[in-house]
Amino acid sequence: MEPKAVSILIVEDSFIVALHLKTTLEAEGYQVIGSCSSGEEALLFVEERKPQLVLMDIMLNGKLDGVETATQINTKFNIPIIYITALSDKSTIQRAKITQPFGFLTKPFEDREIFTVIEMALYKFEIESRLKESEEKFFSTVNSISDAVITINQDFNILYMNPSAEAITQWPLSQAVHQPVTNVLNLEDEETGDLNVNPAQCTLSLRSAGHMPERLLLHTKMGGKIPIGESSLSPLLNVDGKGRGLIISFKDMTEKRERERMISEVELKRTMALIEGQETERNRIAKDLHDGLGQMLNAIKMYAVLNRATDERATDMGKLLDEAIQESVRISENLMPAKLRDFDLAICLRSFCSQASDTTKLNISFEGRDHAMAMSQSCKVNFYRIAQEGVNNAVKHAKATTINVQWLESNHHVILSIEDNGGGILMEDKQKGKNGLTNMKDRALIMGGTLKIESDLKRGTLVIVQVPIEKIKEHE
Amino acid sequence: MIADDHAMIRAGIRALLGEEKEITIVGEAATGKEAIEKYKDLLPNLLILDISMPDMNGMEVCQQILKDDPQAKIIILSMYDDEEYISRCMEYGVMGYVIKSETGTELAQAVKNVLVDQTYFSNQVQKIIFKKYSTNLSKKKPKEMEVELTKREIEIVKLISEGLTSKQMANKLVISARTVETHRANLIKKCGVHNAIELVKKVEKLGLI
Repeated sequence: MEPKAVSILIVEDSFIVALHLKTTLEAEGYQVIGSCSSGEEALLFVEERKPQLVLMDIMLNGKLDGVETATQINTKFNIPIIYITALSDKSTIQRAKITQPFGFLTKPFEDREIFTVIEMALYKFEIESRLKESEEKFFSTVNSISDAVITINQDFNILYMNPSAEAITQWPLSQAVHQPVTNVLNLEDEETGDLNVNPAQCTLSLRSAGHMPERLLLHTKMGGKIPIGESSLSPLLNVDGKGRGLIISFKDMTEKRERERMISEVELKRTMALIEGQETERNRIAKDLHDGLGQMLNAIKMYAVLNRATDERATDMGKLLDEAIQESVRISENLMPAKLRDFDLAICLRSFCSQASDTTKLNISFEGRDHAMAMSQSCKVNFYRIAQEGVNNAVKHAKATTINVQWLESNHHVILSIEDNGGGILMEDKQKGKNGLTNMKDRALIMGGTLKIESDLKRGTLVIVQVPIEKIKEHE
Repeated sequence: MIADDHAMIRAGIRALLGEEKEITIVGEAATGKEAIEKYKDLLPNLLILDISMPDMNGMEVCQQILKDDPQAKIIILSMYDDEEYISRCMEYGVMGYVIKSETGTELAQAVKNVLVDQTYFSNQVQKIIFKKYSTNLSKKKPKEMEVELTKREIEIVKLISEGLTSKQMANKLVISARTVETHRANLIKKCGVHNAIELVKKVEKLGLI
């Protein structure tokens, strides 16, 4: 064994033993920096000189015995202590053990024994220090990351939570530890509203990492709800590779959701402005055509009649004028049906269905009460356009032969549904938002409602637009 | 008296009717509100009224004037040839309806008829009204049979009769529970019943399931 310049303090009230130890150790190359005969003296010395190792006699004269002195040293310093004892008194040894000594030297001892115990103690101390250091490093990492981390054992009880997890769940670690994980991680599935989602639905024997479902709401201890996400579940493995628990990590998504919400709100406002602008423009052009060009043509015709032009060319001109008038009315109606200005939605929808039925020779029917509730012009136009688009799709793309448009006003919602018996819409088209589906959806969103499309080959397509009554009233 | 927001049209009407000896144009109005005001002042024997006008449409003007003076004689002269406009105006009590593109003899004839307390609905208008009634007649079936259910709705009624809850139906049909609820609400309104039991009874009675 190579001699080491380890600084050692000897605390021993027997002068002979102390001297013997000092000579033996120094002969072996250790550096004995002091020798105290009482606990009080030893405490002062340690404070001042910080030895690397203390040899401590359990039985000391004075107020403090060895165990008490060691306890005090342990609370203040990180110095390994070896007890020297002649006792085999079990209760004292037991008391000494609690101070976690790095070894015992039983008197009388042999020289070699001293060195072995000291070297073992130093080795153990070093290993423990390293372990502590890496543990500290690990915990400071886990503690400082913003993700919430919760570890649980095989019985789904909480072993540990980092500060982020404490902050999100509002459960302090001291209270959460040993609790079943579902008490603390009280989850709700945001989409289905199902409560008590088990965060650890992947079995603990699984070695691969998993994650919790997306869109979860965490019920905090104080009763708040926080959206969480970007979770991961990884097994906590033993040395032998067996799972002994699970590490659950997740993020507080409040800010992210808020950002997403704001972005989609801005997006919606833009779409709203776009659609409204489009409708205003259509309305303007429709009016110009109808009231400007149309009236002019009518006036021209009146004068033509007045002039009693009876020759053949005049008759032809009259016909041409009639066609021009009709054309201007047709274009104007296509852009913005005049009825939408003067009649309520139910009448407009019924009229639209019967006209569509006439032109397509298909069975297009309207079901609904005779009059629709009062609503803003833009709502009316939005519903009307959705119905137009829906019927159009059913005729053109789904090749339906029967189309049913329904208007329903319940206590809470107004519902417009368009159902056909055609071949359905392809899923991919639905996702790509083809066939004006995006436009329909946008219009529903603008009104504060939802649009749902169900489509299959057997039953055809069903489009449902549902808007809460209070939203309709808001717009008015 | 003439109410139309286009000076050109007013002039045209004036010219067309000016040839008839028994007709004198006593006033003109360019907006709905002006029409009501002037009518009160002038109390003409007859008002030729356009529907599409800036502040107040012709139908509203009609309603207002006829409320104050049920004897008022009004002829609508409009570009609109939709059944809805014609029906609404007839409902309010106009005595004539002529579509602008017809003009000429039709308008003069309308004025003459209405002045002697007869109604006048132009050729084209009559065709439109006739069409409405004929389709109504052909559609007329025993009241119970007026309910037509879609494939999906029949499916739902069947499942209701089997005692399934909305959630169970949703699972079975692979649609959302909300859609099932929508169907349910639609069905109850459509069939004019109050609850699911009445609904099943009614649909059974109709022989649809």
